[in-house]
Parts: sequence; structure tokens; C-alpha cells
Amino acid sequence: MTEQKTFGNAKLRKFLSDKGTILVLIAMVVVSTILYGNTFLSWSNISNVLRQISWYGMAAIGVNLCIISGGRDVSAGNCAMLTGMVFAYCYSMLNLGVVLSVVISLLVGPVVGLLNGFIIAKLNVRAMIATLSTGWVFCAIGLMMNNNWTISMKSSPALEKFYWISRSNILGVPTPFLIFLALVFFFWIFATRTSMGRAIYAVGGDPESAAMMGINVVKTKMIVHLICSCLACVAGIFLVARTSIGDPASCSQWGFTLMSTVVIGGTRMRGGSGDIRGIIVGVLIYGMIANILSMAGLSIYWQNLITGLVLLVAILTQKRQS
Amino acid sequence: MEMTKPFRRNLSFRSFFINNAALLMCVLLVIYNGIFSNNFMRINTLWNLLSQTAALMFAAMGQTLVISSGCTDLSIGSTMAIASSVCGTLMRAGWNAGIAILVSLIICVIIGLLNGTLVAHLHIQPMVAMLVSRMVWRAVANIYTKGITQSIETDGIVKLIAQTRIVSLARMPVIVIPMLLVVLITVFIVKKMKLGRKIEAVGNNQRTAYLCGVSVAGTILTVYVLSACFAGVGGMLEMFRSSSMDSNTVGIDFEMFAIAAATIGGTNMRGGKARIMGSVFGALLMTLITMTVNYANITYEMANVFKAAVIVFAIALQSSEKS
Repeated sequence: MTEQKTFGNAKLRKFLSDKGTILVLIAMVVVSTILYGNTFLSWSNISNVLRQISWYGMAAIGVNLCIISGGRDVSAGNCAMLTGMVFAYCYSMLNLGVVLSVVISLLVGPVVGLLNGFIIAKLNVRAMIATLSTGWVFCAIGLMMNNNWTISMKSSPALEKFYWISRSNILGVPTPFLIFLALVFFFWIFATRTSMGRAIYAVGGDPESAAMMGINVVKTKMIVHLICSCLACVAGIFLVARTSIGDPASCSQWGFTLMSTVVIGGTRMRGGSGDIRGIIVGVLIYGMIANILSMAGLSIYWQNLITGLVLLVAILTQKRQS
Repeated sequence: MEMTKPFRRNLSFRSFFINNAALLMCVLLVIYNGIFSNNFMRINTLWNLLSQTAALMFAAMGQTLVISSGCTDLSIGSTMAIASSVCGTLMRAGWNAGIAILVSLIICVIIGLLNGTLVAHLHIQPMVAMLVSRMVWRAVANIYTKGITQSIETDGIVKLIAQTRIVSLARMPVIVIPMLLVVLITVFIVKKMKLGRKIEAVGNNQRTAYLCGVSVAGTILTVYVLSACFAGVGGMLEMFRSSSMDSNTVGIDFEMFAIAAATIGGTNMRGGKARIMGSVFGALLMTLITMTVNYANITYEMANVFKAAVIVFAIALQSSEKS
């Protein structure tokens, strides 16, 4: 490679590239504290941010695994939406109980994952195109469930119990956020300490050498997409427990923002490298952007614009390092 | 890795099918509609089909060029949104339609240059780069119009192009003419210009093209600019046709329809030969699917399910062709 211009010393560069996102996060916290002091620092605001990023983060873990394996998944948001719609449909339209509705809607994840995995791993369709197309299909199914309308749910004691999973606090911390942290820890162990997890990294690094080492590439890709969709499905359950409505328009932006969250969290788009724990920083930054913009009174469109630009900067800094 | 194919005849049948899949599927759908749909076999259906395809045809032509150069443009829909909202806002402010169109075309050139720079100079993977620009450009369009739907006064040249029909030519809509023009321009670029050769060379093998003295970055930039301009014109046509400006919905998913049109038409996602006529039939196929779903009285969303199936089918067919 040609010699690159260097600024500062090598240690500083390395520190910036490793810990850059954390510095950005700290800077954002400082700036918003200065700008919106008490409103921002109040525990109700912070716990609100933590609560809202937790289901988003759960889906991001799956997308992170996908990108580590060299794949893409932009249908995760549609999968989460579909899960919520199926739950609301089973509960309100079919009058099944809460437990049965949860069980049925949790089946969405595996079905979606197997479909994605089959198309990508077996039929050899590019992951991006494949998941964009399947995302349409899920979107269409979600819209058809109640003729383009949302499905509302009548309150009942059992439903209130179900709502507990994403509305309660444990020791003042939102429960879903704790579950999100637990999932991150679990999948971090899975990715770094199990042979399956190492296989995911190997396939992402170089599928051909992975195949030569005896790793079943097709199986690995299938499992990754299965995990990804199942996590998105779980995220959908938490979301519907929070919003108490089946909304075919929800999560429509997730496909792209999830990927930017993962990249901001330090995972390379090329695959083969990345740290599941980076997701925590990634979703915190994403949640902070939304929070700051809403405190500044700017529309959702600004959020898309800024998330896109942050993604671009993150990709470019990764390019620099490699 | 792949099994050897013992029968040559089998192989040529397969490649014949891949190259003509769009045409075959169009014919099948027309036959199906001819039998099962009432009032399908009329000249007016053809004009409806063509005028509904017009915007997509522009997008598909651009996308075919981009795909044949080995890249992908996912920002087509967002570019359509920007072009139509700039043009619409200027026209509402009382500008001459021609100047408004020119201004939005200049903006499209800038968008194309920026998209191309991300891919050609900053070496970001096309898919990832376009992911960013798709999100950003749509957001810019929405911020510019504040996401409000507004009606557009159509008169003069705009009305002539988008909403009139030529009575003496079996009531053919005038919008068919720009659609034919863009197809001819693209065919000319691919068959007659050096640029066409360069695009296919870059798509086949960037390294070889570079060693043969082709400016890879320049070619990719040109391709993205062309794609953005085509998309922009398509977006404006769509706006004139419906005489309303809505940055939220105009051109949504058009990039995917365009990819579908190009791939089912036989242009390989890995780059290489651009099959323009295939893409033409691919674009017609996309509209035919929507029309069929409408005729059969199924909800509109089902059309997207079928289109998704077409995309997956077309690309799976291409990947299986690889030896």
C-alpha cells in the first residue's frame, strides 16, 4: 500500500480508532448536557432512552452476527413488525390467549430465518437483494393482515402481565434494557467461545478457506440468518408489548438504521471481524441522536439524514484503518 | 465446486431461458390475462401499460447501465424524490417548467457525481455506499418539502408530455415518446459509443479494464451520473403524470423494481453484458404484474410479493449459471 499521511503518533491513532466511538458517545453526552441540562439528565429521560433502544438493540445483535458472517440482513425490521402484527392478529382477531399468541408470533422468527437462509445460502442470491425482497414480502403480509390498518388490542389482566416485560423496571433500570445486556453477553460468549461462533467469523473472513477447513458454509449461513430473524422476532414481541398495537408501518426504517448501528459499533462491512459488545455503544449513539433531535424539535427526516451521515463517517474511518 | 454439465444442449437451453426470461414471462402474463381478465385485450390496456411503465423504464435503463458496470444504484427512488420535489417546488413558485426541469437535472448530476465518488474514489462497496445515499437523499427530499403532499399545476409542455394522447395514433399517450427515447439513447450508448464498451469492460473485470487503459473511476462516475439523470427524469414524469408532488412516496422501491427488471432481463448482477431489450421487457413485466394483481382484485401488496419472487428467481437462476 502507499504510504498514508499520518497525524499525531501511532499510539494516539490506535487509541482513536479503537475507542473512537466511545469518545463520540461521551462527547454527545457532554454536548446534550450543556444544551439541555436538566431535561437530558433527568432519570426519566435517560431510562426512556434506554428502554427505547433495548428492543432495537436486540435486533441489532442479530444483524451484527449477519454482517460478521459476511452477509447482510435488511429484513430484520420487517420481521419485527410482522411478529407484532401476528401477535395482535392472534390476540384480537382470533381471540387466542396471550400465551398462545406469544408462542405463535415467536414462530415468525424461525420461519423468516429459514426462508432468508434458504434463499441466500442455498440459492446463492446476494444477501442484500434477497433480504430486501423478502422484507417486501413480510411488509405486504403485515399490511394485508388488517387491510392496511393497525390492529389494536383490548386490555385484559393477562395482557397487562405481558406488557410487564417491556414496561417495568428492575432496581430502577428498564427490564428490557437488562434483557438486552444479557443477550449481548450471551451472544458475545457464543461468538467468541463456541466453535459455531468461530465458524461465523471464519466464514465472514474468507468463505473458501473456511470451507477448506471443513466448515459447512451453507449451514453456518443458515444458522446466522436463523439467529438474526429470531432476535428480530423477540425484538418485535418487546415492541408490541410497549406500543400495545400491531402497526404495519412500524420498524420500516430499521433495515438500514440497524446496519448503521452495527457499523458504528465497530463491525467491518467486509465481514470476519467485529465485536458483539460494540453493539451497546452503537445503539446508545443511535438512541442519543434520536433523543437530541427530538429535544431540538427536529423531524424524523433529520434523524434519517444524520444517521446516514454518521454511517458514512464510520465506514470511511474503517477504510482508513485498514 | 460446481458439477460439470454433461449436455451442451441442456446448457444452451438454459442460457436461452435466462436471456429471454423477461419476454417469456411477459408473454405468459399476457396470455393469462387474455383468458382470465375481462377487457384486457384492448389497445387502451397497452397504452395504460406503457404510460405506467414510463418512470420505471427510465429507472431500469439507468440501473441496467450501473449493473453492467458491476455496481448497483439503490438511490434511484430517492433521486426521483429529490428531482420531483425540486422541480415541483420551483414550478409552484412560478418558475418556467423548462427551467425548473433543468435545475433539477443539474441537481441529479450532482447526486450522481457524489454517488459515483463514494464508489469510485472512496472505494466503498457499491451496496453499502448506496445504502447510505438511499437513506440520505430520501431524507434530504423530505426535509426540503417538509414531507407534505402538494398538487402541481400542469399546463403547457408538461401537460403535453404527461397527460395528452395523440388521437390520430389510436389515442397513444405522448408519454410513450420520452420512454422510447430513453431506450434508444441507452441502446445507442451501449452499442455505438465507446462508453458502452468501457462500461462492459469495467463490469467484466476492473483490473483488466484498468490495464487496457480504461479510466475505471471515470466510467463508474459517468454511469452513476447517467443513472441519477434518468432517475430524475423518471421522477419528474411520474410527478407530472399524477400532478401531485409527494417526496415520501414517489419512487419508493423503484430501485428494486429496476434491479428486478435488469436481472430478469438477463443482465448479470456481477457486471458485464448489458441487455437493454431484456430490461425493457423486465420493466414491462413489473407493471404487468401490478396490472394482473389489479385485474384479479387482489390487494396491491400482493404485487410486491410476486415481484420479490421474480427478483429472487432471476438472481438464483444467474448464480446457478456460474460454473
